[in-house]
Amino acid sequence: MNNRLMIQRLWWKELRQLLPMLILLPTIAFLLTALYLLNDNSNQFNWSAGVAVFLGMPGLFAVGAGALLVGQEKEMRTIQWLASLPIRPQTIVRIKTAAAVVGLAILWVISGLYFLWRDRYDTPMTDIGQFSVWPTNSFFVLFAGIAIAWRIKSALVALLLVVPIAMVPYVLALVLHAMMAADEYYYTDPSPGTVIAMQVIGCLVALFLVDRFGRAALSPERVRLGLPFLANATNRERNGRAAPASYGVIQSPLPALIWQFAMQSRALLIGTSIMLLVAAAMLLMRYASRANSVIPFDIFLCYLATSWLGASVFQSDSAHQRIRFLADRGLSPRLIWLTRQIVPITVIAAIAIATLLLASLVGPAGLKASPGLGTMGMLAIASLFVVFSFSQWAGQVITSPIVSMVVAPLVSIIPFTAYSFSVVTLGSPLGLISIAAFLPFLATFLSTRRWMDRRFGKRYWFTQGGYAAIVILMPTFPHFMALAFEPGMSRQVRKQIETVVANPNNVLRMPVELVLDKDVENERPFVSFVRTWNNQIDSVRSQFRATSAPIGISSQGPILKILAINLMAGMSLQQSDSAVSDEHLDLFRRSMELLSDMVVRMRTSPQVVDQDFADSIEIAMVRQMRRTETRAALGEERYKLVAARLADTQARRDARVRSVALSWYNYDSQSKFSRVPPSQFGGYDLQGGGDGLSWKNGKGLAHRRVARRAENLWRMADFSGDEVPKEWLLEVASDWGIVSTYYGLGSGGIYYRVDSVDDSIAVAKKGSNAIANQWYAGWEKQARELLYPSN
Amino acid sequence: MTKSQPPIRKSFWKRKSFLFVAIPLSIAMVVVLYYAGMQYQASRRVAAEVQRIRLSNLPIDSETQSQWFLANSSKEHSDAWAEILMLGAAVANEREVLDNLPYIGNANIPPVIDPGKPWSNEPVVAQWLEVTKPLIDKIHSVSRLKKPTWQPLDFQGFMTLLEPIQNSRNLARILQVEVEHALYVGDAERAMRGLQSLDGIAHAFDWNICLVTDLVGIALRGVHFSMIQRSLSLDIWTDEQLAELSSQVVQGQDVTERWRATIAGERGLLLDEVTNQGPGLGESVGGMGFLFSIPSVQESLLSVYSRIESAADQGIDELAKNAKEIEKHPPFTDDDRFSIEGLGAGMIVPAVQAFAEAVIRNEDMRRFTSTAIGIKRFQLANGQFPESLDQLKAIGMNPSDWTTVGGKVFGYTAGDAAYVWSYSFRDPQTIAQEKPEEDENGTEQIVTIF
Repeated sequence: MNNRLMIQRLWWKELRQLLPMLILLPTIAFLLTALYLLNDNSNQFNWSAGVAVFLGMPGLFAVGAGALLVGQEKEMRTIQWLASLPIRPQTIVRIKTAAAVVGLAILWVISGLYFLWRDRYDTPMTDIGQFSVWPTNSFFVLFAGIAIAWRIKSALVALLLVVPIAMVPYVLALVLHAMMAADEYYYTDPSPGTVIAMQVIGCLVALFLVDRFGRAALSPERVRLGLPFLANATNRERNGRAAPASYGVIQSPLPALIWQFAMQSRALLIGTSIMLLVAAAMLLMRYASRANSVIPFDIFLCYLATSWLGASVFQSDSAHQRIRFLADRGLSPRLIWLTRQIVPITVIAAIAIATLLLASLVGPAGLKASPGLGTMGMLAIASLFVVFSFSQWAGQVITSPIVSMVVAPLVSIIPFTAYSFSVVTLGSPLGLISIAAFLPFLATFLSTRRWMDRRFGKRYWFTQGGYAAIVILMPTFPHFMALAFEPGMSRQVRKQIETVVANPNNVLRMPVELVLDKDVENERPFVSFVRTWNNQIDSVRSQFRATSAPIGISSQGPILKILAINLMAGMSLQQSDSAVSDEHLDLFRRSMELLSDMVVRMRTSPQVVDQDFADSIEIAMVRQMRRTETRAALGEERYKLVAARLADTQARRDARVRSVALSWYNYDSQSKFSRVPPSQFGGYDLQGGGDGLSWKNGKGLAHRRVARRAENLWRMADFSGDEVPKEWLLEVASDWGIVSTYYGLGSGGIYYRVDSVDDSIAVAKKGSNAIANQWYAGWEKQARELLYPSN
Repeated sequence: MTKSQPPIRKSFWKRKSFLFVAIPLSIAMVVVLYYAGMQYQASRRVAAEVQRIRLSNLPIDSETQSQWFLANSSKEHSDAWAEILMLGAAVANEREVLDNLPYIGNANIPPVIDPGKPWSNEPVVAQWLEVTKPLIDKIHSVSRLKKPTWQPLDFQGFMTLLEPIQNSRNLARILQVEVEHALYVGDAERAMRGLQSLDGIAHAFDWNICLVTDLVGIALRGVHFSMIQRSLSLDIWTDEQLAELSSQVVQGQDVTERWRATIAGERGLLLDEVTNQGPGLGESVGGMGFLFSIPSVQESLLSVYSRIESAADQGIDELAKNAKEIEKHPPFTDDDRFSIEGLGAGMIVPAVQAFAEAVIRNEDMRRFTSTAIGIKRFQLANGQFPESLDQLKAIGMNPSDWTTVGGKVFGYTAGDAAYVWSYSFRDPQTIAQEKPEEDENGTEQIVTIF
């Protein structure tokens, strides 16, 4: 085989070895980003999200690439085969290194594309100084990781050692800065330039070591012979302590398995314990000193250590196929599962609880015990166990130890994003979230048998897929149950609404807005306020007559002004000064006429909110009309016209029915053609309410709930009795989240729902939120009495 | 025969390796159970405290808030006030009003009222007052009651809209114009009616239900006091009228009682927000609102309010000190910066000192106005102004009446006219020895008495 072909094949082999990470890492990164975008639309280009995922992704690759390319070869014992090939050792070393560089470069390109895409939609990132060191640091970590992997036998230990070594260039930069900086800059951080310089030097040193260690690892092994007299002495010692060939007393498998796990994973357990202890110490010191760091390294260290402990639960047995030894001896999978979980859990729990107790009871560095510390401590420990839960699951599912150690930290972020989406957006109960977060333990418990037997067929992967679906989707079950079982609009009501909508006289024509003082460019000199008010009436009337379109609450400014003029003029009529009263009489008549005309036009509006606004104007008008002087002031003809309109309950009913039908039609149409459900119904905001409606419910459920609300409104609009049943009012109040008092129920209710214009706060309010709260209340009877006085 | 070896027992720590996990886990379980027990006890204490608050007829949620407001206000004239508020907003919203009227519009307010000097906007002002006379008369008629008026409010925690009380400031401005004009034209009866109605508005909207309403109430009272002070620059009042003005500036509700009621109302709004995880909470603490469902966090919130509630128990003299102490050492935020309990404390504590200062400033202004009225009464009684404020004892006033809450005596000098001054709003700690110069921004508190 010629050399060139061998090198090509070698390239392909190395890249293929990296392929699982090159696929998994970006996939998880995009999944996390998608979950984040789904979770928080208002802040979708949050810088911290990009930092966490798209800078962490190449970092994780750099940490694991060496262990994957070299450590795995050692564990699978293919390194000797590689060394036996007719390729120079340095060629093998260089190809491995180059393949790792290519892999890292690919991931940086993907990260770069993400940031470019992000920058299109938001202000360019300006504060990138502190993160400019990250790319060079990742290359340093890559080379250091490869060098350590060549030197150290165990891939997992090599992986662990990368973490402290990654800090070396920064520490050197700190030392250099401390030595060289002027006094006033002594306490600042080293500049990015200094750090990058140290990293470049570190890269060069690491590359040298890669070459050296790699060649040594691929060269024939050197055996050292001890001095003869020392060898004899050693042999004598060994013979003296020779244990008899006896198994000793048979003991229970539980402690034996615990011991076995602790021994085989001792390097990882010690390494991660040190990481946790360092993180705990840094956390306590940070709290004590109230230091503010941009990247909380202590939290990151804690999280990484917990994740690796989780991944090690099953991976320590996967290494060298150790689990087969236990499986072949028929050990119970449940026992295996328990003994694998218990040691890492003990490590995490012991260090976390010890830290909490230290902080609470001993109070180092001035920290005082507080209930808050206990609460935060418990929440932090719970979060760690969620990380552990998902990491141990990833450790069982992903067969490669190195890939699982690298990917597990990213996998353990998924529950936080997915569950915060469920809580914030879908309103999932926290109890369900807690159950779902610890379901991975059950998943691994049930899969242990197959994992032990290494039966990773289709059935295994489908089962794991099923578990993943349950774990992620379980918090959404209440939402989907509601979607499946909550009633919407009945068929009968739907047909009735369709009949109303189909009527050619019922046109969906949106209200126009009237403006006060429209002709402001034709400024008339000020004469008097009465003249100004008359001009305002003229202006509004001319706009009103210029269109046949409905008017509504969008014109509340001018309408309320006309009402105010009417009220003021009405009060003036009671003044004794007759010279004033003619002007005011005219004002009163004109404003009352205009109000009456405008209310009739409002009744043609397709929006429910406009009907309610019309009700509030009519209530104020009924009150005016009931005053003794009003009839005389208006004159008989005008009075009867206004009274007839106010007394026309049927017209009001028809208007309400039409508005509910058209509002539903409008909502339904908009909902069909929009990804996001409309946020309003008939002019009322749909948020909140006793039915839990939120625009983030998802289109299906939102549509169902709005339909239900529309049906209840329809029932009330179509009412034709004497008194609306209280249950109907309560249902509407509950649907829309309005206090029942607004519907005349409970203490003080009479002041809100106008059963008598004399007893209630009968003043037109701007934009009351209580939909339909005046429908068929007692004021309508008083309105009828204007025309048909009861005896 | 082979000698049988005794069975080899592995060392204790190999045989009992499970102890290495059992012992730490047991300790961990004990700690977790301990904290769970603490939370359980905290939840019981919270429930007991909530029950105590309920039994005291204080608000704890929107429903009790509504009932509390109903119980502490009067429904008499509520409909009239509602109509007045609506009309007040409508009549003030005219271009001519904004251009020509002081207080409501952008027209200048002269430092003192001088009937001898022409007032260019007076014709427009007079016309406007004529056309709004029915409204003003209606205010006069309903403001005699001097009780908080009930208005429909939809209590929804932090999102409670307080539209009526915000609009009440409009009414105060309308009456300021009325009083200003009456003083300018020398109509003492009309001016007195206006001042009485300003007093009535301050009473009607003296809603002791939360910080915002109290602050508006303080602002309304401030308007009333300022117009009384302004009126003293004209020699128009009779002794009976001055006695009436004195009765308007007498101290109302006890400060301790008021403070406790306000904080109780504020607590009710917050607890409603926390219980219902309302949108106001979301705005304040983002997606961390669920933390407020933890019993220890709720207990800490109640504890914070309990501490703030008692800030005025030693009277207004200690209020400033106590409020400052609370703000300087806010509970749960002192040593543990990231305390969850600190989230709740952080939502209320920053407002405490500002509110306390507003209460104290209001009291100082009341005393200042009372002193100014007293000087005029002395002059009417004795034919001359007092030589010093100590002489006001002769008309039944106490030294505390001409001293600020902080213990500083008002400045005074007399000649043809008397001048009494208090501290500048720029520097509340100092009262100038000499009469300060008037400034356009109105930061100096000086009353000129003729």
